[in-house]
Amino acid sequence: MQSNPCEKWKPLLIASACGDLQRREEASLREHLQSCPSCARERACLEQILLAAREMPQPSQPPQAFWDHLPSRIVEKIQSTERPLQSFFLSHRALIAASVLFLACAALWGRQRNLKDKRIPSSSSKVQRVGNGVISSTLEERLAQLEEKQLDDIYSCLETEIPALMIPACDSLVHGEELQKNIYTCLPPEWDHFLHTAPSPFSWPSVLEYDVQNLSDTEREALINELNSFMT
Amino acid sequence: MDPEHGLVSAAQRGDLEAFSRLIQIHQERIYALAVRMTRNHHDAEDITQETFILAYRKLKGFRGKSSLGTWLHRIAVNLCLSRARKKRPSELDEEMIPRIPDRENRTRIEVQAQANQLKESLASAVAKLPPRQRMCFLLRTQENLKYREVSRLMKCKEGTAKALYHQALGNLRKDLSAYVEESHAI
Repeated sequence: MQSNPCEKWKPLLIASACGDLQRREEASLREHLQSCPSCARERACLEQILLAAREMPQPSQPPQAFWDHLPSRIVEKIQSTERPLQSFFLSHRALIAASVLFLACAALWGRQRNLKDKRIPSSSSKVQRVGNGVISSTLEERLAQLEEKQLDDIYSCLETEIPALMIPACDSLVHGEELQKNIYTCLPPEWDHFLHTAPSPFSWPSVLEYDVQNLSDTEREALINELNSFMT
Repeated sequence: MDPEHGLVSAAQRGDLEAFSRLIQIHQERIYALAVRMTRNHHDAEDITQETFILAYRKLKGFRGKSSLGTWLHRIAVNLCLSRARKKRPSELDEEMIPRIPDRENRTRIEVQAQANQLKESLASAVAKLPPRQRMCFLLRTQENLKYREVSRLMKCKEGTAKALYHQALGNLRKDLSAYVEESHAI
């Protein structure tokens, strides 16, 4: 079967309609268009779509009353959700701080041991609590199965002051959704809202999707600040 | 001094009245983005509310490197994409999406009018795009943002934003072939 000779021009036609072609490519395409009515028509179709997109009818606007009441509705929600969260952190801040400190010590100690057996040091099995919740045995087992490189990643996160909860997040990057589920289920319900909503620009869902190791220095710094500010 | 700066500082200190004023300033733009993306008033309202609630919680970390509007936009983009990933296209608000009539059922008059209908049918086709393509396409065409701005909002590289935009246009072209080809044939 003979392939369409104009197929190769297709990406260029799209790029040209979007105004993204380099001058030389544009010139070459224009030359082709002069001798190819089919591509010329295609180019016009693409332009027509973009023109229509700019004039696309907007969804109908809500009535003025909606705008008048929205700020007060939002403020009410903030007030109603703020108190339980605040009280949770206030009542558990000592425990959270102790967990972070303990994890950091365990991490540094483990690193010094050079991890010959590529397993997490047994002492870190004492790390059982984060906030109000007990880390499940599943998570602990998975931590014990980590490779040296993966542990290093976690330690480097700790050394850059990413709080304790970042550990499961980093870990889930390595192990995928299954572990992520375990982490979610082992965290106290008070964390649920935080984990499933998006305190942008670095939401937890985004963090979980991110390859933390590939973050730029600026992004990493912002991430650390973001997480630290939440923890404090 | 920018009056918004004063409101931000007050809101950072926990002044909810100042934050309420900031909501008034930005709510329509955030809602507009959300409703374009979701084509659903209920979801758009939810996203608008969530955007401001999260913004309030994170406001202490806002250092004013970008404008508050951009920062809020970024939160809203995140929430829209997150929601779009969870939601199937069938859950879109049908009343807000103009229907494309069956090709066989279209009369000659309808065909003549289709150049105008294209704009409406486009909304339906855009709603079917994958979330990131849809977001990129809407930010480019509806918000007139440059690739650089789109990439910042979507946390991707400029090249990715460009590729998403091109893919979106290619997909729309396929979806709207009946419309654009026939309107050219008229």
